[in-house]
Amino acid sequence: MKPLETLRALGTGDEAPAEAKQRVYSALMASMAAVAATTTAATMVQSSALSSSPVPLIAGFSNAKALAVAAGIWLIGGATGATLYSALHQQEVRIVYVDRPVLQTSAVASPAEIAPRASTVSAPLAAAVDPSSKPASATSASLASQLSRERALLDLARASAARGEPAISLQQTERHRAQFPRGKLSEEREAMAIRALHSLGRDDQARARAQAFRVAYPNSLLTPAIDSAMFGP
Amino acid sequence: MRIVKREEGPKPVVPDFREIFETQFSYVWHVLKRLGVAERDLEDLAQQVFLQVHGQLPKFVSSRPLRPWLFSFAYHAASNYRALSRHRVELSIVAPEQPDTSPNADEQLITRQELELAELALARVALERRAVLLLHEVEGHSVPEIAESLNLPLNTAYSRLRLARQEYEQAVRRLRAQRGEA
Repeated sequence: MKPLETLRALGTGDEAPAEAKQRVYSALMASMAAVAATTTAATMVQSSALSSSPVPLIAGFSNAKALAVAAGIWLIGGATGATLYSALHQQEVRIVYVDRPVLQTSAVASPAEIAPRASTVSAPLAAAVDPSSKPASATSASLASQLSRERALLDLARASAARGEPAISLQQTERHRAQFPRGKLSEEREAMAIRALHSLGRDDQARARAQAFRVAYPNSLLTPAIDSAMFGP
Repeated sequence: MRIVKREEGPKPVVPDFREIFETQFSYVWHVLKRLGVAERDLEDLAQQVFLQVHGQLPKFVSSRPLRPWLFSFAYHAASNYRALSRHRVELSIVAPEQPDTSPNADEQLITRQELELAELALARVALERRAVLLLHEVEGHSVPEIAESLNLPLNTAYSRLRLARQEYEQAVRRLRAQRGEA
């Protein structure tokens, strides 16, 4: 066989390892959530930096530096910063609440602290999600913002689960279910809820919901994670 | 539930990211591998590629073939990866010589050996030309299509293909000589 013909016979390769695929998928989901949060935070900081100080105070103190410092303050400020920020920038409260939870999870905010904030969001959210109040043509921007709101809720649930608080995690997934019954992240939400139920020892419910999950998402990449959580590795 | 989903809306203009990931992960994986990414870095690079794919998906023109488009992300990721010198050192280890000691010489084995040889020879073609060679010879895309995907002038794409074929055939000859074949 001539060399180039052999090359043609190579093909595009076999299936990649399933575990690698699963790991990459999980990592992707995590970094997408992080990217969304960072982008929104950066945009927000930028807009506030530009509106409040158009002229640099010190020569050489570039916008980029101002941004970096502002971002630093933003990140370390935690819950106190958020409260102050929202008090000072009333008009931006909605943006803060929408994407803030990802950052809140790193500060050790208590669930009691998170709950009222999240419920503050729920009113405008419910209105935005209600199909009757929605304009006929939903823009891609509003879809993107719905997605980031969904993510924010699920990030809260994920953080609670990571803190070993499955009851709160479950509560947060239920809130997602109420607000986004057919949300884009329903699959992730269900997977998280099943694991939370299992952690709470409510195995019957977990099993029933896992069964429904398999029917609804027969090809889900999250199925192995659910199985290993429920039946061991 | 899946059926309901399909009936719900008109045909989407932008392909679904999850679907692309599901169906094209193995493809991207092997492209990265053939572009010289070491086994242990494949997951990281694949993640990088799909993250970029996700970001650029709204810009994807659905009338264009998907794979050359995906290939371009993998190609850029692999190029950047190669630019780090620590990986360059690894590359000589990626495609080691495999002298065949097996006494069996049935047809299937020969084919397998040929394929192994092809992979090894491919690894010796310079990356920018290997990309064109892979897209054209292995995947069967036309040169204009390749030029568009990799953002190359058409003439450059043709000349890269020509040089890549030469380099590849030389590599095959050298490898065969090392193995004591005719």
